[in-house]
Amino acid sequence: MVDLSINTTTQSHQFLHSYCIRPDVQFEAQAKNETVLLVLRAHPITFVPWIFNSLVFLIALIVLDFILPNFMLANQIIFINIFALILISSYVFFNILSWFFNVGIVTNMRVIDIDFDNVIYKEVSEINLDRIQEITAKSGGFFEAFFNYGNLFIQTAATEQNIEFLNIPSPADVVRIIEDLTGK
Amino acid sequence: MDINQIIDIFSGHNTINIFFKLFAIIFSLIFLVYTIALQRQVRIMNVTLQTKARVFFESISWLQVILAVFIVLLSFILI
Repeated sequence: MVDLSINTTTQSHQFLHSYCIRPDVQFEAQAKNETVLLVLRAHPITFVPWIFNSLVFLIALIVLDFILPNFMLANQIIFINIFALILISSYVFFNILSWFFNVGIVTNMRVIDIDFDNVIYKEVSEINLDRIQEITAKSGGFFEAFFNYGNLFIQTAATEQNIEFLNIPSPADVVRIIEDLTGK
Repeated sequence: MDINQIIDIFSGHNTINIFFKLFAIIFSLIFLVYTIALQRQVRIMNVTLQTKARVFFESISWLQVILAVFIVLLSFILI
């Protein structure tokens, strides 16, 4: 049984670093006496679509290698293969970057959502723990139930910023942790 | 250069080779611009969220730029 509690001083990285307790991580706007308690990323099951795409591209390239010699010169085929392999590896790296840096952070003072939309657009949202009014965990469907991941919505007063963490592992545990921190 | 040689350049297989080289150069240059932009963005990301993996991501992003330069050179020389 995995211990997902933050009532520990030791570091813990679960679900392939999607659920990190007291990680050795700092963020840009971190205050001096602010401690990172939890770092959340999308569940590793969300890797499946782009891993599948990468494999399809690789297989397509292999198939093309049987067809292209009828139409192209050897040096052209070599160039296409090298370029395609570099493009596929770039696609994989892009997706890893997007997953790694789209994080939800829970500290002893606030909850922060760092989003890099398509890697280029940066959006940082934060809510102080004492401004949190409602926390909702939603987990539906076969895969979400089987792999225990879902969405977390943190609401504040009507005109203030709301935060959402999408496809995070164990959303119910995260709700419990934040409620413990807010004293609710 | 006589008229037959000029016609030769724009006929059949030679035309295809010229267009292939042109597209190869254009796409490899576009990819180079993309990798440079991505390398800058990785730096911003590493400042936003500081982790032990920052060296890994910086290295891979620079490797991508180097590979993009290599591809540009390849498009000029190989084809």
